[in-house]
Order: sequence, then structure tokens, then C-alpha cells
Amino acid sequence: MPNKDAKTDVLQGTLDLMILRVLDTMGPLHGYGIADRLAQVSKGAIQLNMGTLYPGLMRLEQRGLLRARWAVTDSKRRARFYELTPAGRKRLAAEKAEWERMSAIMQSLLQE
Amino acid sequence: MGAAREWIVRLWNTLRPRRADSELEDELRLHLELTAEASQRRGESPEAAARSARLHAGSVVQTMEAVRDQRGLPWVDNLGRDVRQSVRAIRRFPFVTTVAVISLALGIGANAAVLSLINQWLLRPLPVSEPDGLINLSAPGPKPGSRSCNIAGDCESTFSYPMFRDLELAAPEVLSPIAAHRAFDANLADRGQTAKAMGTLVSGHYFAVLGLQPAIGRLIAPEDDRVIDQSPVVVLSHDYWQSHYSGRVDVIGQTIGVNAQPMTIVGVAPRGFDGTTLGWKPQVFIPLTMRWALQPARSRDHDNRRSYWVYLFTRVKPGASIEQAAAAINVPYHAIINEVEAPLQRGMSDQTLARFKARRIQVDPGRRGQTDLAVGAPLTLLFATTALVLLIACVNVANLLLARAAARSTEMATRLSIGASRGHLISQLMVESSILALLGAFASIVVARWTMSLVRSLVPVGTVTMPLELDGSAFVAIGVLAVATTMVVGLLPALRATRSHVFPTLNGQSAHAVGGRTTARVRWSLVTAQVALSMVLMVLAGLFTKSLDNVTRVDTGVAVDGLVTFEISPERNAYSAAQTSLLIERIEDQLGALPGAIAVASAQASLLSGSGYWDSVYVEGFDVGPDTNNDTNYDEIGPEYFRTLGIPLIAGREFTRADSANSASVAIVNERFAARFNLGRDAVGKRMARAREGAPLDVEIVGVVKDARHIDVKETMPSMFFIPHRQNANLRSMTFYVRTMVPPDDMMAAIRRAMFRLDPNLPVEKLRTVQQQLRDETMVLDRFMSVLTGAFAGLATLLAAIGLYGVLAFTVVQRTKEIGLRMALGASPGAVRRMVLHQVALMSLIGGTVGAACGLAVARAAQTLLFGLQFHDSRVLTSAAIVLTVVAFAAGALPANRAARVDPLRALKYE
Repeated sequence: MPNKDAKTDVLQGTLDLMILRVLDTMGPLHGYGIADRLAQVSKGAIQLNMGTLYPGLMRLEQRGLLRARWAVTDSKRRARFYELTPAGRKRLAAEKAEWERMSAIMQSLLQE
Repeated sequence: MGAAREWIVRLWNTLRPRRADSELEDELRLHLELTAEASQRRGESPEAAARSARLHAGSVVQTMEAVRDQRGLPWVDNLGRDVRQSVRAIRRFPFVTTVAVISLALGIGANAAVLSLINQWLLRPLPVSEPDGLINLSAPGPKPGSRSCNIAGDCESTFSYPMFRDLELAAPEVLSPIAAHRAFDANLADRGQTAKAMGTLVSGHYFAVLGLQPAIGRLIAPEDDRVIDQSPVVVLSHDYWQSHYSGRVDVIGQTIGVNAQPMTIVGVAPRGFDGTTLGWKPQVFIPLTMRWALQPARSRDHDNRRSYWVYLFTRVKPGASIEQAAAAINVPYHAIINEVEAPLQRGMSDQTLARFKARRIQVDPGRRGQTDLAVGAPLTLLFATTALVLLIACVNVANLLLARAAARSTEMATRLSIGASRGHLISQLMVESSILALLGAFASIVVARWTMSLVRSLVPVGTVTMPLELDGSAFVAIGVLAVATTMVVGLLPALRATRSHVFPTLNGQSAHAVGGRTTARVRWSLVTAQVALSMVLMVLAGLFTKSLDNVTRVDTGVAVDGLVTFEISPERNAYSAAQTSLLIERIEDQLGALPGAIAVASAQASLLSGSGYWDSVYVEGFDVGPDTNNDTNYDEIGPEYFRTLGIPLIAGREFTRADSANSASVAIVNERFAARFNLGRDAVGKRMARAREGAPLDVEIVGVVKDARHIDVKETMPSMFFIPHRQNANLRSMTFYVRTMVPPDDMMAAIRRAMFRLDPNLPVEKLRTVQQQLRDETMVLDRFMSVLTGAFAGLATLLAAIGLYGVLAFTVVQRTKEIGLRMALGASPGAVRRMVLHQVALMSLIGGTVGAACGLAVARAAQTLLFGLQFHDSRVLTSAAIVLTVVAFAAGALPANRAARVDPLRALKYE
């Protein structure tokens, strides 16, 4: 099995949530679109390289949370578009709730 | 859910042909292009934009690698690569591979075969529901009267028929009903063809207590077992139903002749159930009440409380303990013994009567059924033997892998230095070991088959039917063990090989860098251990060979050469007593007229077959008080018996045809009998009687013969008397002997033809030479042990020799430079050869001594299986030591010669 240290494992959960959320708000997007949107929203703080993004997309696809199909972009180029499946939508809701619960806990802890 | 799905998809991706990498590449290139375009839009030059895109987004190649890792199962891909590399590596060392695979195959195969036997003969419970609840009953203690026992247990275990019925009625609360059974020889007349078969008489509760359901029809039930002679029904075994009736359902209601009694088939026993006795595989089950109808010549002893022959077992009800069961069954037993049976005893001393009254039923676990075959000790010893073979095999493999690892240290160092990870090298070496182990495991199937067919050839067919199948679970157990062992022994050299210091090895000093002194010491210790283990095996094999030799050398007192024998059982083919007498007379005449027949004789008991008849005797001038042992062996014989068998007549005469039912009762005794019953010098003319005390001494002794072993070669010479079988009205079976001057095979063919002319339907049983009979009946265990331990010891020693050769040859190659130097400094080839052989001698000495000590410890446990020698027999030890030394030096000679031929000039330039 590929080695992954603990740090990326924590990130992995966050990355999944971020990808799912972007696709939820923006509708079907290709890989670059997702990375671009994330950079935009985070004001450049999150710059995903391909080596992180695409394995993540592959994993989410394998878990049945995303599906992908080839389509043509606005600039008439062939690209692979990712969109949420119903399972993905459900997972997003669950993860979102969990994240909010966790961050509320963290917040009250830190502001104590 | 999601995670499981992910793994399934990844496994699928790994297995199916590559999904287009080009699609992924397209996707990534687009990503890069779009990133670059974005930069350009921010005003960068196309070149700078492309550069910053690669910088921020990463490289396509690396990303593809990462995605591939996520897409499939990378370790499976790696495994494939490792396997390919391993196969290449394994093929580079054909000697190591071949020897390792053969070693493992022998070790695993022999163990799997022996473990299969252990499982089937010693461990496996009966194929019945909840076998753990079953208990066997036995009735030790004084048992005056007639006792009869067989393969299902010793005579202590048997009960009388009336006692069984009493206990059956009295069945206590905590027990299931008591079940009874008894094996019998059956002649089955299947559509006109009569054949010998095995049968079991069972009581009405037998199948119910075992909790069995019929394959078809019904099983024997209590209502089949109520009235003596009245239930001619039979249940077939599943195997017999399949082989003789092709599993047809319409056998139910058909008639089959069992010992010439027509019986109705009512059902078929479940598949896999072959009775409850190891070694007795019945084709038919028949109600116990039919015993006397099936064997009309047998005394009708169903009311005789002094005739002990039936075996009992039952089941403890859930929740009750075996102690509670014993206590419960002994309540009615005690009452019956004291109130009913004690008053029947005659001529017992008070002491014996007290012991008789105190008799208790002994209760033993019955999950494996009943057996009197003492297979535990020989099988355990055999297993120890094969375990040693496996140990030697594993040591061989370890040693070979160590040597190979040393030879490959340069390769390992190179690969480490160009960036291969240590973990990866180790995993590849482990893959190599497991490939060796798997090849060995597959080859072991062949070895196990050989071993089993060797075992089959040593276990005679006929008297017993032992299960002799290879057992899948035994294979798995041993296979897993061996593969695990190989992995472990493979790990050691793997670690060592990858730990080697990169630089010195690459500098061409491999001869010294290969593990150095420690590795060499490990290798030599392993080889010495192999020598020791071989010594243990050779001591054992030597002891059993000598033991078998002793058995074959026993002077039986019978001239066994050129003697052919066979048996018939006219009773089982509906012959009346008168017809049987007539038949015997005609057979004697016809056989006597065969060309090449010198003499013909007949007798009741089969010579040297391990079974005989016993009776109590009263002899003129010999006082029989209470508790005097006046039991002795006897046989019922025809005319010319002693002349035919070559037993000298010392005084008096042989029986003639004139000694018949109408003439005076006569007997012939052997010397030991004469001595034991104080007959003195003039035994002829004295009188004796059989069985009943106080009866007139109505039998006249007319002859004395020399002692001979009639029953068993291993027992002490028995005292025996003989009476003419013509004076017995109830002959059940008869054994014939023909002394032949033509080859036995021709004589046996002639006998078959003659018997067919007399009665084509009467099976001729056990037609063979007396030599063969001796081998089949009385030397089975000795041959079994000596052939198998001999074979295993031979193989193991061969393995050890190969191991020794391998290590020596390797060492010589490794030390080429040193040897060259010595020779350059003036050492003669002879001195070099001595140097190598010195090491062999040292190893043989240490290994041989340790092995002999361990061998003696194991052999002590084998003492009971040895005949006519002590476990520390000095000639066996010496021979084993000599064989070992010869083998060790033979294995060492080739490498030693090679060392002596080393050319100093070439050697110093070596590498």
C-alpha cells in the first residue's frame, strides 16, 4: 500500500469535503476548474497541485461519490467533468454537519 | 460501504487491462494548459507561464504515477514484478532450486501422508451426530467361561448377551439406551455370485444412539431386534450400495443372501458411516438377534451368562458427566452380578468370587468408536520420523538459501547502491522463498501419494480394512507449516544479504564480505545438525530393520517353504454339518491328487495368523484346584497334519480318517503341554478331558509332537493339544495346507480350479503361501515400521548428504584464493584435501555423537515395538555410524578433490 503519513490523512478528509462542496455549489466542473475555484475562494491560500487533486478525484469516484464524463468546455475543448452523485450529496451533508460540529467545539475551546 | 466499493474498483482496475493512460494524460495536459493560460492572462510570457504552471500544478508523469497508485493496487503490480524477477533469480541457481524443492517436497509429502493416517486412525471422531457424547462400556474382572473378542476391543470389553439385554432394559435416566454390536464374517450372495464380506450385527438402538439417518429406506430399529432368529432384514453400507447396486433406490425390498440366509434390504446407512470399529468396514448391518441364524454351527449361547462376546456403547445425555454415567450404569450391573450371576459361578475360590462380585463397568469416551488396534505408538513414532525429515529438509533449504545469499551479496550491494530500498530487496527475496515453498508444496502431493501407496502395500487387505486416504486437512496443516518455515528461513539470508556493507563488497572483496565468520559458522552448525538428525533416523531405521529380521528368523517349528494354504467357510454357504464333513473329505482327496502335491492337511485354526482357540483341560495326574490356570491352546485337525507341516512326531501316531465321530475320542499333545500338565515321559496312553470339571477323562492321548508356534511368531511357545476335527459335529470353517513340489503359483491355480469344480459358489479365501500369510498376518507392524522408517531415513540421509555437498562445494569456491595462497606457500594437494576432509570428519563426529544420543532417547520409546533386541543394540549403533561416515565422506570427496586441484596462479588472480 502506498505510504501516507498522518498529516495527509487529516488533509485528505478536508480535501474530500472541499471538492464535494465546490461541485455542490458550482455544478459539474473539470479538474482545473475545481482547483481554480478553490484558489479563488481561499484567496490563493489553497493551491492544489495535480498530484494531490487527481488521486483525490479518483478516490471519490471509486467510492461512488462522484461521477465523471467527457464533455466540451466553453472554449470548445474536450475535458473530463466531475459531478456529485446522490451518495456524494448525502456524504457532503454529513461531512458538513460533522465539520461544523467539530469547528464549534474547537471554537468554544479556543475562546475559553 | 464507500471504502469497500473503492477496494473492489481498485482490485478490478488492477486485474483488467490498463484503462487508457492516454485519457488521464489528456486530462492532466489540459489542466496544465489552462493553468498556463491563466498565467498568460496575468501577463506572463508563454514560456514563463508554462514553467510556473509546471511549478504550481506539478508534473504530468508524477501525477500519473500517483493516480495509478490510487487507481489500482500498486503492491499487486509490484508483486508481479517481484515474481518475474524472482523466477529469473531462481533459474540462475538451478542446483539450489532443485534441491530446495525436492527437500521441501519430501518433507511436506511424507508428513502429510503420515498425518493423514494419524487423523484417520487416531484423531477423527465417528461421522455421527455429536460424537463427544458417546461412551464405551467394558466389563473387566474375572470372567470364567468362554470369552471371544476381536478387533473392536480386548476380551475385557465383552459382555454376555443376557447381561446386555438386562442392561438394555435397566437403562438409567442419564443415558441413552445401551447399544450392542459384534463383527461377523459374511458371505454375500449378490445375484448368484457369492463373495466374502464384512458384516456387523447391531442391536435395535445402535443407529438411534449414534443419531444417524438412513440414506434411503430405514435403519435397523428396536422392533427388528426383539425375537431370536426372526428378523431377516439388512441395512447396506453406503459404499456397498453404490458399488454393487449403483445407488439405485429400488434395492429397498430386494432380497440378498447373507451366509445363505435370504434377507430383505430395508435401507442404506448414511454416506461415510462404516461402523464404529477402526479396521472393520462392514458392507451389511444385521439385527443382533440374527447371529445364530447366520452362524448355525455356533452354539446357541443367547441364554448363556458365561459366554462373553458382545460390545456395548451408549450416549450420555446432555448435561450429565461421564462419572454420573458410570455411577448410574453400575447400579443395575452390580445388582445383576451379585444376585443373578454370582450364584452361577462354580469352582471359584472365595477370593476370586469376591473380586467377581466387586466387578464394575468401566466407562470410556467413545467419540472415535471402539478398536483394539494399537496403532498409536507406531504412528506417533512414524510421525516423529517424518518430522525429522521435514526438519532436515528445512535446514537444507535454509543452508542453500544462505549460501545463495552469500553468492548474491554483490548483486544485492549493487542494487542497494543504485537506489533500491532495503524493504524492496527483502520483499523480493521473500517472494523468491515463497515461490520455492509453493513449488515444494505442489511437488509434495506426488511424494504424499507415493508414501501412501507404500503404506497401502504394507497393510494387507482382507483381515482388516484401514482407511488409507490422503487427507486434505493434513496437507493444509503441513503445507502451511512448511511455507511458513521457508519464509522464516528465507528471511534470515534475506536480511543478511541486504545488510552487507556496500563498499567493501563492491570493491571485490566479496569472498570475505559474505557474512564472514558468523555465516560460515551458522552454515556449519546447520550441516552438523543435519548429520545429527540423519543419525537419529538411521538408528531408528536400523533398530526396526533388525527387529523385522529377528521376526523373520524366528524358528516356528513349521517347515513353511513350499506350503500353500487357503480357507473355506461352508457354514456361510448353507452347508449342513454332514455336508461339510463330506466336503472336507472330498477336498482332501482332490487336493492330494493334484500334480505336485506331496501332502495335504486340514485344520480349524489358521496357522500363525494371530488367532487360535482356547479351552480348559483336565489331565490325568494333574490336580485342578480353585483358580488353577488350566487353559491351553488347541486346534482341531485332520489326518497327516504334522507330516504336511513338517512338525516331527515324537511318540505315538498321527490322526487317521478312522478317528471319526464313531470312534473313541483321541488327542495329540505337544511337548510343552506334556511338561505343563505333568504327563512325564509316557504321555501316550494317558487320558484327559475338556471343559467340564468332574467329567470322566474320556479322551486318550495317542501322540506327542515337537513344539511349534501355531498362533503367533512373537509369543512364547504355547502348550497345545489337538483333536481330530472329524470328532466335532459343528465345523464352521476349515483351513487347508498343501505341501507342493511345483511352484506355489501353479499349485494355487490348480487349487482354484479344483475348488471351482467342487462348488463354484463357495469362496476360496486367503489362498496364499504360508510365507505370505506370515508376512500378512504376523509381521505387518514390523514390516510397516522397518520399511517406512528405512525409506525415510534413506531419503533424509540423502538430503543431508546433498546439503553437506552443497555447503562444502560452496566453501571451496569461497576459499579458492586462500587455498591458492596455501598451495603457493607449499601446501601439497593432499594436505588441502585433508584440510577439507578434516572438517567433514569433525562434523560427522559431532553430529554423529549428538544424533546417536538423541536417537537412543527416541528409540527408548520404541522399545515395545522392537522384537528380540534392546533399543541400545550396539550393532545397530555401529552400523548407523559407519553408514553415516561413509555417506559424509562420499559427499565430501568431490569438493575435497576440487580443492586439491586448485591452481595457485589462477586462484591468486581470481576475482
